[in-house]
Amino acid sequence: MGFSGINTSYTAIRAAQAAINTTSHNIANATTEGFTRQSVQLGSRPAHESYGGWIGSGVDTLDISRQRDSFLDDRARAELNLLGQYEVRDRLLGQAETRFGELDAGIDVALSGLFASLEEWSLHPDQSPSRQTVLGAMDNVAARLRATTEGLQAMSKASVTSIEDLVSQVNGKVDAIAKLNREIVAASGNGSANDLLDARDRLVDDLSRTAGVTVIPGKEGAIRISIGGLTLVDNGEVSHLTANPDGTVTHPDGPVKLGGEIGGHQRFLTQDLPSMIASLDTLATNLANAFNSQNAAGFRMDGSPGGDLFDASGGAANFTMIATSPSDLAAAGTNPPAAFDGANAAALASLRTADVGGAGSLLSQFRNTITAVGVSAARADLDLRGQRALENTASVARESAHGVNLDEEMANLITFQRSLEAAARVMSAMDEALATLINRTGVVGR
Amino acid sequence: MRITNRMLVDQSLSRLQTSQSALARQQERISSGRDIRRASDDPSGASRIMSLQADLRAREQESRNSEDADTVLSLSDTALQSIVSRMHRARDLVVAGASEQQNGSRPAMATELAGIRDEIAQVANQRHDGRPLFAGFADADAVAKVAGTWTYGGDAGAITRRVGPTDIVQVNVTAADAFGFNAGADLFTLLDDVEAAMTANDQTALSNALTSIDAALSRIGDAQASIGAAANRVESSQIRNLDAQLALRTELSLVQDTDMASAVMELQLQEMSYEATLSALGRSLPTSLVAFLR
Repeated sequence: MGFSGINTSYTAIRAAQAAINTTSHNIANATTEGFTRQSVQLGSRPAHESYGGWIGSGVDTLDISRQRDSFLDDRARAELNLLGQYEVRDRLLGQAETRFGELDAGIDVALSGLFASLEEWSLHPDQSPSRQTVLGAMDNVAARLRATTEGLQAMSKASVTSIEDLVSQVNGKVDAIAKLNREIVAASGNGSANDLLDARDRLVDDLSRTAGVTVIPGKEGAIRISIGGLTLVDNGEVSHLTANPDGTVTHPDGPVKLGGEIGGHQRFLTQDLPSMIASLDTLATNLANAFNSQNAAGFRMDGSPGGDLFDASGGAANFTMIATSPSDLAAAGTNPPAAFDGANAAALASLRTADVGGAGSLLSQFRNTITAVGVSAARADLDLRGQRALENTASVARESAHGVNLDEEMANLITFQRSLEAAARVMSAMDEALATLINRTGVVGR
Repeated sequence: MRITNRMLVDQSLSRLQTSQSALARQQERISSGRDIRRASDDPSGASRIMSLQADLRAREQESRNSEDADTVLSLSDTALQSIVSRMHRARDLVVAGASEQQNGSRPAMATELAGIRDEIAQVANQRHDGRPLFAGFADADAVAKVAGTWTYGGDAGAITRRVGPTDIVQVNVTAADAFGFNAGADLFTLLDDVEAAMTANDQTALSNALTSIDAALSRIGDAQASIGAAANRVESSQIRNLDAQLALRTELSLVQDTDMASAVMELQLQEMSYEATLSALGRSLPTSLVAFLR
């Protein structure tokens, strides 16, 4: 029999030290974003034959590994993808809605004001101030329509710029992931790659939120990342995305459909914004047609028929008032025009309730446009709230599996401390036995 | 479920944020006094608000139209009334002039008839706000003697006012209708003729003229009746309109305004839940096994 027990307890002390150090690392990172708790895997060392049988030779530290569940990661990333998309869309639709003004200051209110001024003018068709009021109200409607449309177009430009920024962020993160891939492959041979893996997982989370990516595990701990079947990162190889001026994004292998925040911007650019601007364009055309044809049906003070009042040929963004002088307004219904004939002024005022372009009155068309924007904004808000709850559930599930619980770590710490103390006690027992043998044997009768 | 320390913090923070945004929403409701400020707050309610606002604006304009109509109609009525009383005086003079006893006073009566005629012409040309009452759309005297003939200077323009959503009322009568120009027997020529008969002591012509004077009076009566009928329509429209405005304002307030009692109650509930979340956070965060191990 040898005193292999000293070595056995030495392995126990080393294992306990490794466990205590890992616990210390866990506690230190208890609040670190994206940190995965680590644990020490122990294994008993092989036995050797000794006097009386096979005696074990202690404990080995097999591995210090992360408690990570990739299924939970995939689920959380799928929710992050949608969350990013809904957050952006909710914010953009909310902003778009404010372009239409508050309920008591929208375009429909300006239009209502125009009709009131027209009716007032029809009471006093001869008076210049009432004509001036009509011109002012017309200008107000045109300016509101233009400002709203220009505001929406500015949002479109801002979204394209945001997409460019986000794409360059994506490219930066793709580079970082490829670099980490190489480091992880290199580290998996010697030493731990745990914290590199954490860093890479954080980047993949960010990418999911920004662009919505798919992760496929590769060899030796490397991963492949793709979007819509097009590869962004393959081990150490990267492909960069390019943002185009129209808000689309292309991959070297062709156009790519993105999710996440970029997808949210793109959906706003391709679906929400065009329909808003198109309905404003339709409104501008209907407004101009109705007023121009009614003004042409009347006669001006000099006996000539009324000319065009509005020009909608350039769409709502370039909606302009052509009439500049009070005499451009045709008040009279008959020719030669009598001084107090306000028949056409009254007809212009009665456009308030007239069906224009087969889509109801102008006022109700404006109301419908504003309500439609409100409905989209409210829907986007509901979508976002629902998605927040889903994302929260997924991230809680992930945090529950991956995160650090201080109580648990404290309990572990005590366990490891005790096992270290016990191993030390065994070692001193061995030491004492050895001392007895060395100092006390062979001295009988001395 | 395994609970980690980070989870505790994150969850509490997200609950605090939810609680705070609910609090902010209630505060906005109370300070603005509006339940719906943007269409997305309540799209169907917002659509209703916009429609009610437009209706209210239209009713207010109709109310102004009614006031304008009322002024014109009552001025026309007063003018016609004074013309009728002048015509009655003229008729009295003609009756007197046709009688034998008045042989000496016919010249004076002729002078008075000329005065009455000029007076009626003046009233017929009365203007309101620069605009003749009885000349249709025209900016001209309704009646004038041109080259020795009495003529109507206006046109057939029917001045209308919209006093209700679909209620359009004509607020003028033309001198052509009221004073007989259209019937080919205007009362000014009639008064000229009577004055001439008076000067010429033509008793027969005077007694024959009575029928024409009665016909002229009845034409003015017709005009007064149509003015009166229009005034009645305007008045009843105005009453309906004011009722409608009240109803619209009430509904608008119901849809749009914050119910203060419920909003304040809601605010207090939110405050309570916010404070409760805060105190829960304060209690749960510091406790850990760390504090109990020595």
